[in-house]
Amino acid sequence: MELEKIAEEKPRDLFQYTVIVLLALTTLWGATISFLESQASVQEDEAARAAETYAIQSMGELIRASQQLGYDMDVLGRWRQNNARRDQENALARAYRLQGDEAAARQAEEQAARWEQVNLRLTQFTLILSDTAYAADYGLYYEGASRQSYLYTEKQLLAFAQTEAWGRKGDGYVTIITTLAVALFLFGLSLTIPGWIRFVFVVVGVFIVVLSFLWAIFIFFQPVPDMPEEAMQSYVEGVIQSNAITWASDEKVEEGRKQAAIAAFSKAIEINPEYGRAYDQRAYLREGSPEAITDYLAAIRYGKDDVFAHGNLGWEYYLAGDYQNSLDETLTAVRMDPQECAYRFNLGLIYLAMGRGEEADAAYGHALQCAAASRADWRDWYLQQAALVDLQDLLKEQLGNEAVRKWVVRVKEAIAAVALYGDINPRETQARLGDIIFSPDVDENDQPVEPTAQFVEGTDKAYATFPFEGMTPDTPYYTVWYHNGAVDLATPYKSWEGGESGTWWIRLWYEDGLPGGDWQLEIYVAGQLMASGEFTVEGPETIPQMADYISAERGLALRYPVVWEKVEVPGKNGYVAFFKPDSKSFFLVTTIQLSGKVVPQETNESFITRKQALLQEADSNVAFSDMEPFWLVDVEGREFAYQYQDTDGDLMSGDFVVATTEQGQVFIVYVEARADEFDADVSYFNRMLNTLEVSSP
Amino acid sequence: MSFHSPAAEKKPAEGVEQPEPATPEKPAAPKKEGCLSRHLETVIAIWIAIVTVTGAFVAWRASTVGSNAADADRQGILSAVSRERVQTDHRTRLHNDLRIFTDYIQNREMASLLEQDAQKLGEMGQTEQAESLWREVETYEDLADSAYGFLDYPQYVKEDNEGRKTYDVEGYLQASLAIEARVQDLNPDDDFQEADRLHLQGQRLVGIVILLAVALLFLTLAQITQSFPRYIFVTIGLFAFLAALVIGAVIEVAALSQQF
Repeated sequence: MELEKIAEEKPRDLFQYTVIVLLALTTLWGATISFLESQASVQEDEAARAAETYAIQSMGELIRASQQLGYDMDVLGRWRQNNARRDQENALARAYRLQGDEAAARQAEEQAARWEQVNLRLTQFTLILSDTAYAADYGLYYEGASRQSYLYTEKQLLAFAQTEAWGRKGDGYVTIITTLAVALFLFGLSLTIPGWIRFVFVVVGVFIVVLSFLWAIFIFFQPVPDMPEEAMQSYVEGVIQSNAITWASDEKVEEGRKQAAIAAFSKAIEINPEYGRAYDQRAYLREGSPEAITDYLAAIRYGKDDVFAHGNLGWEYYLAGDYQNSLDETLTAVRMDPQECAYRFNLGLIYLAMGRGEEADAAYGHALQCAAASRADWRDWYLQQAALVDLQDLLKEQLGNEAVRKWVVRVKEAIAAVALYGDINPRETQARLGDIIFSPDVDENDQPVEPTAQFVEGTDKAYATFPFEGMTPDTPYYTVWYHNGAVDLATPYKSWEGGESGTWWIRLWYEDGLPGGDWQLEIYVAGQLMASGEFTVEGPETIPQMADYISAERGLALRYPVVWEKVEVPGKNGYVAFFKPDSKSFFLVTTIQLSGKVVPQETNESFITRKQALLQEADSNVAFSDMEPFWLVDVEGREFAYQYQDTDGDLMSGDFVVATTEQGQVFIVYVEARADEFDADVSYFNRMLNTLEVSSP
Repeated sequence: MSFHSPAAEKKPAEGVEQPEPATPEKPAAPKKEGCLSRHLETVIAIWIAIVTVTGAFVAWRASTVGSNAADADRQGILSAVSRERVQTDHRTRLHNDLRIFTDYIQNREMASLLEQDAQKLGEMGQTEQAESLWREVETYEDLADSAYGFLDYPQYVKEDNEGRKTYDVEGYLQASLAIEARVQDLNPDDDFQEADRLHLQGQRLVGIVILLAVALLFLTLAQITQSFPRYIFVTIGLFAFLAALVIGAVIEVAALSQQF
């Protein structure tokens, strides 16, 4: 009965009772917190499980979508191949008809109709062809096929955010349990010591318990992110439209998709006004507008607080001319991820725009080091896109800003050094180049012939002649030809073959003629910009892609637009014709060898008379121009133009040329197109005619 | 410890008044109520110990159930991976077959169209042209037959009401998935439902700990209270304890019944 004795000797007092009650209450509170912690932990596990499952499903859907697309592309390929066969047959039919072989023409048309029928059946095999929404626009189809995968990715991200939120709650409850252990310890300790100090222990313990209570309430009411599925679906629709922009066939389609994407993101935001990623995506599409800034700010506020959001916000401020905010945001981005070189280049650009040259030099120095340390393809992208394009744009706005001009040259030199040495550092050299002189040709002494800065349409070569000194055989150099500001041709030369000093030329050669517009040439030696010059070329800015055609049978060679259908009809009265797809335009050429004595002028007129008679058979109201002299492959011939209505009721324009040699060789070229398309097609006809060569004129 | 020699023991000096040895009082007989109270305290202490041990047991069960729930979660994830792998594998085979089937249909369609035209030409007496077309018919039919021979699952080539051949994609996918499901677990939902059930069971068991803490509180109050309210506290404490036991048993029995 020792205990009884102790109990008698030390009877419990009110203090002890109170502490014991506090201990029991704290234990109860601790059990409650444990329950909450357990609940949070279970929720965290479930959210993590959901995130993992969505990630697996997203990947599976992506692979299956890719498989489906592979099959769809296969069917689309067959469909296009069959269309080409149909077009080939139709072209053959037209060729036979031109020759007057109606039976063969009809057979070819029947075969074309069969391919058409086969294709009708094929359209049932893929939605790309059967669903008019896609209208053979596989960009939108491609992205749409990944819809489920994108949706799973969104759900995964949400589940991941929920995992984090429940995890934070669980961690908070565990911390509370730990502090309650301290309180329990203090309460227990207070029972073992006498005097006033024990009251201090109890008070501190009670304070901890009360604090834990408030803390638990705070944690309990902390929100866990949630998202209506409808918002995610709208977001995914926006992503699909946005990604499909890069597949757009023209600017109108591009703009349509952009607006559709913005509308979809706006709907997602309407359903969930705290949808950070939707703001971010919408901001990206609104680049250069004030709304982009507000969207990026909202994106950051609602969780998209990453390097890209800050970096892009900085860029938007820059575009808006708000350089101070631009600087602040870009600095934030650079601090968040110092390896993201694009924002380092932006930093330099902003300092340049603000006129803070020294800071710009430092920023560009770091940016170039960052780019140099990156993977080669990224390094090249940083130099070309992140640095040079923006610097050139700034230079256009601030023409007198020499600091900008200096960095334009330095970045270009870094690009040249990469091409020559594989790193961004130009080397020292004693070499010097003089002014560049442009000309369409050079003479046997390598001197420019008829120097000019303005070339006529159809010029196929531009020579650039320049004096030089201090060159050595191991001096590498690099030439860059720009067409309307964009790099057209960049060529690194690893060694020099022109001696120590003298005159040298390089040339730009376009077989089908130089595209019209402004041209610029820059020459870098050992990575340093040594010379540059400019010239212009008259004519259209784009040249159709051409292919070679050679006929040994007819002794003909020419170049024709690669997309045009080529039809060869062999035999004595045969010919070769090139048909423009989806139109009635064609270019026909043939050679005929006459026997006996031939008078070229009479022969030419005879052919023209026969051609005009055929045209009158087709349409009695045909209109002819006067006959004109025409030089065809260096042989004098005759030419006339005509206009008539064909059997389909289309007004057709044409031009017929015939030239006969004294040896009895006849060259015939005639071109035809719908009257309203003829002028546009003349440039094609001229290019083909200019490249026409015959082996025995 | 020190030892005292008896010789060294001081005798009281003569003439010195020695205090009268105190007569020990007889201990008072303990009051009946006090004895009961001490017994009750002992009983309550034992109850407190039992509640504490029960709490530890419940915590162990909650932990075990939680561990089982995590296992079910993992199994579900594995099933999800298996399902995606199997579905992807089947899609690969399906698209291989579909490519061949498309080739088969294209050649068959062309053969059919040529056949119709050849018949027409034959009827019109254009035998030479008809023969030429018949030769083409043979070529395309050979190509179609050849393609058909490469189909891995020709049993899914069906004919619709209009006599057109189609490939039963859904039929193939359902059948192949059903075959695969016989040899491996492809349904993560079952595992996830089991995991959810176990998570809930675990949470409920942790909830019982709160009830046990309530029992502990009242038993403690009973332990430190001397007067009548202690009996009320004991009653509430024991009631809470019994309630926890009953609820715990119900949770476990319910879990067992769901399991089987």
